[in-house]
Amino acid sequence: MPIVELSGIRKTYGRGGFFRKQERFTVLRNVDLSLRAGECLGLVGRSGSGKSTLGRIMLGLESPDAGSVKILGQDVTGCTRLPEHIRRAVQVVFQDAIGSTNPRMTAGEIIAEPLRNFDKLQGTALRERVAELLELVGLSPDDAGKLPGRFSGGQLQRICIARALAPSPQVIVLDEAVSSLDMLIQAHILDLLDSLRRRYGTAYLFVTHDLRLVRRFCDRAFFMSDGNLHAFDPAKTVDMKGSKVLEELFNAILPPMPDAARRQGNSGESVAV
Amino acid sequence: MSLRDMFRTLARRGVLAIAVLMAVVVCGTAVFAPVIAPHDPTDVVLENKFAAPSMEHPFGCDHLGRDVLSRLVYGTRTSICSVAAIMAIVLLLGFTVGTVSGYAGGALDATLMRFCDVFLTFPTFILAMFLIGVLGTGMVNVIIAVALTHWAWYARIIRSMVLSLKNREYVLAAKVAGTGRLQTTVRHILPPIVAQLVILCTLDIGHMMLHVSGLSFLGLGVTPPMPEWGVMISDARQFIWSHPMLIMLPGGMIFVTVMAFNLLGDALRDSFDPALAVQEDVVP
Amino acid sequence: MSSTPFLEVRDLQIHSASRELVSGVGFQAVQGRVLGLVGASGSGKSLTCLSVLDLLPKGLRMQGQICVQGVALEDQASRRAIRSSKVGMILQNPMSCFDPVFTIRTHFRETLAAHGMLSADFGQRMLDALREVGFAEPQSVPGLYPFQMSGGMLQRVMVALALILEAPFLIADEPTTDLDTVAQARVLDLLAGLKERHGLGMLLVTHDLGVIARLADDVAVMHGGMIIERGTVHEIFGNPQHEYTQRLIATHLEFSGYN
Repeated sequence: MPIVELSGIRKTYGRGGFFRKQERFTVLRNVDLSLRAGECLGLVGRSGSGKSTLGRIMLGLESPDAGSVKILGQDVTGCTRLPEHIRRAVQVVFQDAIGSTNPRMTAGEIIAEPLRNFDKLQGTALRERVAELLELVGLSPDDAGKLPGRFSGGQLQRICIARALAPSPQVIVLDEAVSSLDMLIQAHILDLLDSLRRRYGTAYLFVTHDLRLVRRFCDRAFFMSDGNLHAFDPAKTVDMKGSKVLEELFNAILPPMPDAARRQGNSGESVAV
Repeated sequence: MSLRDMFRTLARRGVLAIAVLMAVVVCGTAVFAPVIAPHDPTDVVLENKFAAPSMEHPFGCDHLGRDVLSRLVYGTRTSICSVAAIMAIVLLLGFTVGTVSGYAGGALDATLMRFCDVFLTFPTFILAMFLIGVLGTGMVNVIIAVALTHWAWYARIIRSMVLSLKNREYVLAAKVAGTGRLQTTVRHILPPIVAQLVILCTLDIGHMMLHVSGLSFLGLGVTPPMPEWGVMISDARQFIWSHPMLIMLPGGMIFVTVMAFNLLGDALRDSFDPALAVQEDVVP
Repeated sequence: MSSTPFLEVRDLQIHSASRELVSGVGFQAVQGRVLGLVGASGSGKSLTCLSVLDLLPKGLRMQGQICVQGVALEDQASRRAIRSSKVGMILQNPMSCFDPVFTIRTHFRETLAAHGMLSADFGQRMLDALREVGFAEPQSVPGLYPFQMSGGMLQRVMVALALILEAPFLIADEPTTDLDTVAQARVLDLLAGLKERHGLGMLLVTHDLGVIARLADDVAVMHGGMIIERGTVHEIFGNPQHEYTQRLIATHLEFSGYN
């Protein structure tokens, strides 16, 4: 049984509308998606293509205009408050680590928030679990007392990952979670997520616009264009002529070596080696 | 930190210290009025009419022979109490309407905001006078009138802050982490709003005090024997040439108190300003 | 190409109140070539770049020498004067570089007026510059407001602003970090094309070695506030010397699926 099952999802936003007629535009047309345990699913697309919206629908932060959302076999379409066992099953890491941590709360309090809510942990048990999570993401338990302003972007992102891991979720939505980080930190965090997947069977929805990351991290992948999902094989670098959007994304992959770049010239041909 | 920055920081802290001191003195005077005042402020002793300053009456007496110092001291109490009451009503209404409106959105939000707009369309002083005209004169009605003319500003500001905060990623993250709506509001939404409001309130205290005094000056506020700065100025108008001190002393009190709270607001704004805070501890 | 480097930085040091953030950084950049400054966040690469333009955040102090076309810029005033008259700049977040209440045309006019370069053929020059940066229908652009454009489009308008001022040199601080990959590729293609056609020199600051591989001719690797290794892009990618550079290149190649 899939952990998350989205079927026939449609989402339309209204824009403007104060002085002139409201413009409607559809970001998701008819999207079906299912996610099984331990699976890593890549979702790529250009910015504004609706991939983050799909992630938010999966998280229950937005409700679709049509279609159904099933988590752990239960239909939760349009729930404003998910039942607790479902709420803890689906967690998130956003792109902007600074924006997704309350600047007035210490790292320890940030990570403790889901533990207090779901596991009703308190006192020493809570502190120990927070310390354990901090160590899991490669930070020191002493960091628990520091405010977000004292951490670098990469460290804060690891705190956000620790918070997402705290309730032992079955799915984590990674919404451009590593895009703004340095490559060495990216590698570190992806390795960490990989090992968690092997150990706990956590599934990921990996939302990104960078195909290099999908290639390294995902088993299955979809790209988004005009509000529809299309599957592609992340391991293959040929056979992407099928769609203009995918072709564009593949052509935009930056060259690994400078030589390739110079031969490539300005035409932006594929750089698969 | 360079020497210039250090001086600037010290100057900022200095202003804050002075403002706090002034505000504490004013509030202390209000609380301990019976201890500080040498006489009963309503005691009419006609033989002391326009008495010059003396050991017994340090600031002299007014046209009814009442001790001016005592009236000033008790006047502080009237002003501070009325402003505190106004502020309490304003914050209660503002917070309730602002947060409900910001959270609910849609038709309820639109209705509440149009209701606020009605209050915002009139000049505050005229609206206050109109309300007193309807409610009748007296201190309680002045408090109600001034509160009703101010709450809509606060509701608007709190609503816009709630709107910008409720879609912050850390608030969404709290929702995903299972934090309930009330908890989210208390832990994530209110603290930054309160930090902003403290500044706004201190800046507005002076403004409200002037309103109360102004209405009292016009004879719409406190009833005569009760000491109030606006009433004192109003009473002393006829003697402005012969006894200017009678008008300058309460005027000076209003000036000092309003300035104390304005300085406090400014200093608090500086110390909450993230741009200035960064300057003191640069983290690359 | 002239023999004196266009931009030369010697022994640059930047301090905050408590510590040294950049120590002893020096480099030369020439016209017609792209110098890539690469390093992790916090390595001091952006601060180095900002200090050239005198845009350092308050509270930071710098020492060292900065020369443009062989002339040392000793004081703040001269550094400000070269900003955008001889050196164009592109910053990471294009949205924050434009005033949302003015159209693109107003931004062009204001920029030219500020440099005393406003003339009768202003409109035509603006359209030429916009066409040059890849807008197929440049006449539709000047009437737009910044919020009506995507990050990639705004970044190209930034380049057009540098072009219309005839700046011979560009400083680009993470110019494509906030863009999606397709927009990123287009901006990089544009910059490469300008280098070819106009002999534009560039100081390119980035943390992405892919961007370096695409665009840079020379590379300086920064780590912990110092330049730890420098060379041509082929030397750095082909034969990295420093242990940190080796790690960086290895990770980059692994991500790119290059075996």
